[in-house]
Amino acid sequence: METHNSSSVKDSRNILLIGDINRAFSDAEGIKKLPCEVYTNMLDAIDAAAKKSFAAIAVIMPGAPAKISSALKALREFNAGTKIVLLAQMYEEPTAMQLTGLSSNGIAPADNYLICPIQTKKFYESVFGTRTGRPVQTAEAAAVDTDQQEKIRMLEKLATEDELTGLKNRRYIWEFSRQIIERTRKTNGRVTLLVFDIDNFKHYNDVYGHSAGDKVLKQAAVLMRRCCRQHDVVGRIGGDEFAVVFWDDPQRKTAEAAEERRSAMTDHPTEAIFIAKRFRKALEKTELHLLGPEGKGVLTISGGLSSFPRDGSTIQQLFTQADKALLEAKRSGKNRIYLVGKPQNDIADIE
Amino acid sequence: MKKSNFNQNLHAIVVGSSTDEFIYYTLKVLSNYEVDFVVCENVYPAVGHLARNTGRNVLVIGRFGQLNREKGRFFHIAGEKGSLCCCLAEACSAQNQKAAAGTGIFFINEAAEIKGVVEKLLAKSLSCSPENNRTSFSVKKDFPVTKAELDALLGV
Repeated sequence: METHNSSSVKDSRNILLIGDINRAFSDAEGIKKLPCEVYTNMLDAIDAAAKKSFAAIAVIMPGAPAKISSALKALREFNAGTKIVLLAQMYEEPTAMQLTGLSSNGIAPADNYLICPIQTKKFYESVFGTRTGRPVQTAEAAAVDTDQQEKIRMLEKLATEDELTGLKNRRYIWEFSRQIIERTRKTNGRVTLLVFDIDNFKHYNDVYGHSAGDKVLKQAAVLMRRCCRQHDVVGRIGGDEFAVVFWDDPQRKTAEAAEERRSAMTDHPTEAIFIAKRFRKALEKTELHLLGPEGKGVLTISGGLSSFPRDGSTIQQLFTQADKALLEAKRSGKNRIYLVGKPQNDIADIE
Repeated sequence: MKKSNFNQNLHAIVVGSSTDEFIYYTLKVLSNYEVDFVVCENVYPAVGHLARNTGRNVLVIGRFGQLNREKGRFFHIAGEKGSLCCCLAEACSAQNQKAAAGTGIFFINEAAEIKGVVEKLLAKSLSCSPENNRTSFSVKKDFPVTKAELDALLGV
């Protein structure tokens, strides 16, 4: 394939913005105030990128990830040296991470990604890393820019992650769940929410101290993360309360997912149940560090599992239902995960 | 077959994988005629090459399914730039093909037909051909051809 060197002078501020702006920005009207050329069609955007150089290219990720890699490759080829930023919905973050990671040829399809919805002002600042929005020219300014970018990354991390466990925080879980439910509504898929807490957690805190309690939380967090699939989102939503959002694998074929839904025992997604079971088994085999060898199998959890659209159509409804099932599991003797619905089913009873 | 000098007046953008029988055959034909060409795996890089070759006589070649992406937007862009799109017709998308026809797109039914298309376009746009081995080029100013001219050219 031929390669071309762009002969045009790079516009110092102009951004090529591709996609549906209403999907990406909380104040889409604000885009008009920015020096952006907006294209809703990728082919038109590549056409523009081949004719003119831009200071940055921002791509609002399409729902289906299949074609985006080729399109980004073409944008890279025809606007060499330009920073490419992805604007991803929360549930698109795993794909965005892949696209910003190095590929086999050592070049990532994109340079960075931002999570939507985002304010236009913040988007502009993030793309250029400076308040004025002008690309950094000098080494000194570049150092300032890097420092600022680092601070922004830290703040973003603090806003979305639980500091103790490194899992996502309550705010992230809620927003992610809201977005993924909206998406799933259109794709006729499933979202399952598992809410669980650690049995007798207060006892660990009272008897062994708070730092020991923190270790128990960390241990449970690591274990749950290991049991989940890469695209599932695990978060700590309260003291010893955790939530996991299971959703249809974006890489998976619809037919396979539909096949799985035809479970004989339950209409909850079997993958979510399988992961929850695996987590409980992992807990049984784990030694609780603070008790040493005697701590094997001591750590247990109780949980509730609710599914969209079966048990609710909003994130509030799903949390309420899962919480109710969790309470029921506690009342029934702990160390169990109940599915929403009557009669109450422990997942252990599901083949 | 004797080869002409490098036929730089015609530029071909071939869309598809070179492991595809049709694409492989097309590349062989273009090489034989020393036509300047580029292979793109799909329409995304192809549209960039279209933009970079504005002002040249561009022929896009590919299977209809490969080119008919983004709701036919590729054809519109190619048409705006005065490029021609030669598509290998596919039985499964006969209806879409019918809808797309008439906007600078023409169809061939078999891979082997590409040879005739290239020959005729070269003869139309250049004063040399592989057969007569002339070395002088005189680009026909009104290239690309209109639909009617093309039909006549291809004997439709």
